[in-house]
Amino acid sequence: MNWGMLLALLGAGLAVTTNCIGSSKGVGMVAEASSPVIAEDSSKFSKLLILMLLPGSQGLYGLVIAILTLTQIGILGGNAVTTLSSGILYFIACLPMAIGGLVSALFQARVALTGVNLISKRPQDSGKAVTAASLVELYALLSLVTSLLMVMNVGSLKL
Amino acid sequence: MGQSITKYAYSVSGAHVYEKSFLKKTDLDKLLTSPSYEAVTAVLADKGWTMPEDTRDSGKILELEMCRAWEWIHSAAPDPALFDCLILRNDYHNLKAGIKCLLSDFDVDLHFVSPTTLSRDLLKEAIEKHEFSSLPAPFAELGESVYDTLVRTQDGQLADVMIDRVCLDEIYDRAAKTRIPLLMKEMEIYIATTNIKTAFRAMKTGKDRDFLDRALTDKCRTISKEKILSLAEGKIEDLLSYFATTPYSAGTKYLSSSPSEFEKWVDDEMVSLLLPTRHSPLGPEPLIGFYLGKEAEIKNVRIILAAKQNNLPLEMVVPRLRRLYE
Repeated sequence: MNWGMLLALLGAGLAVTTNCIGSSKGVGMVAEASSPVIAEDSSKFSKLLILMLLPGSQGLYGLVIAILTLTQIGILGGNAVTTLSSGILYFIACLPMAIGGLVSALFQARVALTGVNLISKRPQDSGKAVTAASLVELYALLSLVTSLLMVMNVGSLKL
Repeated sequence: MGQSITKYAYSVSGAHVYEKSFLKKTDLDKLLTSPSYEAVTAVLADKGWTMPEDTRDSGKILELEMCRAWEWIHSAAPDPALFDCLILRNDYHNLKAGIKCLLSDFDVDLHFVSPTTLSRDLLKEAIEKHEFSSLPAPFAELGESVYDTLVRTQDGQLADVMIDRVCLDEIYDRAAKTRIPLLMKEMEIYIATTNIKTAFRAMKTGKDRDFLDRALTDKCRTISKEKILSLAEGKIEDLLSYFATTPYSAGTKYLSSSPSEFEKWVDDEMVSLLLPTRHSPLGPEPLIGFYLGKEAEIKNVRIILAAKQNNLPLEMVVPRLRRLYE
């Protein structure tokens, strides 16, 4: 059994799975909260759609990290992972995205929910609602960049 | 963010949308300055209130609106039973009113109020046929004993005390079971201030310690039943001094001068407690706020309608208006 490969794959899988869980929960919650507002005034749909989509980005970031990892560990290209230590390193490299993405998607959804309430009462303030929810996106991006740099450079380490 | 609060996304957002139709300060001003009762009902109808066939029946107007809000909570909340303690007192009121009406040869449901957790028809049938066993606990046993007591003693006040005590205990237990801090706090205020009002009235009318022991609930944490009982045979000033040491001191100072002002203080306190969680995007708190906010609105409309029906001046009405949930 190649424990190194197993761990690297586990890291890639975790990055995409946790982010997809966070995004689906986040998008689902915001969409659910938007439906009474749309039922009352369907013209608010386009403003709410942006809020619904925002927590969905983390799922895509997770997928980027997973694909990048697969191209480095010999599944979609690169050199196959043969040692346990490099497998552990790939696993660790995926963690910032796996954890940061999950948590930021859920918190972004929470901010987006308050935005839904704001748009329901004052549709002219939709820009403020979207800006507030977008602020949380920064931390998903930081997680993405960290994982990206780690995954890209783990292979060059001489262990 | 566990499943327990995220499941409220739809209902909380729906409550916020519904709250846009709540009466605001400007609407209340419009109602107050309306020239007549009919003009007030016309404004309410414009705001989307359902009007009964007979618009002179102000009680029916208010009941329909309260039921509409309750039905909405029932249809939107993921676990509507959590909120039952908000309306439980209506069930006990109906039990009390039904038994008294039966013994006075009136229609049993003449003074029933809504919304309730118990089916109106079930309660009516149980009282009419004296088959209290068909009611769920604790109504079955309570109904039976209250009916027997009334038949035996004709003492309406004793029946009231028996029902009110069980009602307060049940409200406390149901609220505690939900483990929603806001609901527990709201119900604590309701129960404690009911104890305060009962103790004050009982002492003013010269009731003895045994009466107080039967009437007061020992469930609430902020008011000590033992302390009240120890003061039962003393002076009313001592009781007021004790109330001044409780969290309700700001309101109890009105007790001796104007009990209605105390009632207003209690209602305002209950609404104030709701405001910090009013804009929460998730959780049961905005739904509790929604219902209690609606209740405060109904109280205001009741005061205004009664004032218009009796041609009371504005300066008599305005100080009685409750704080709005806004």
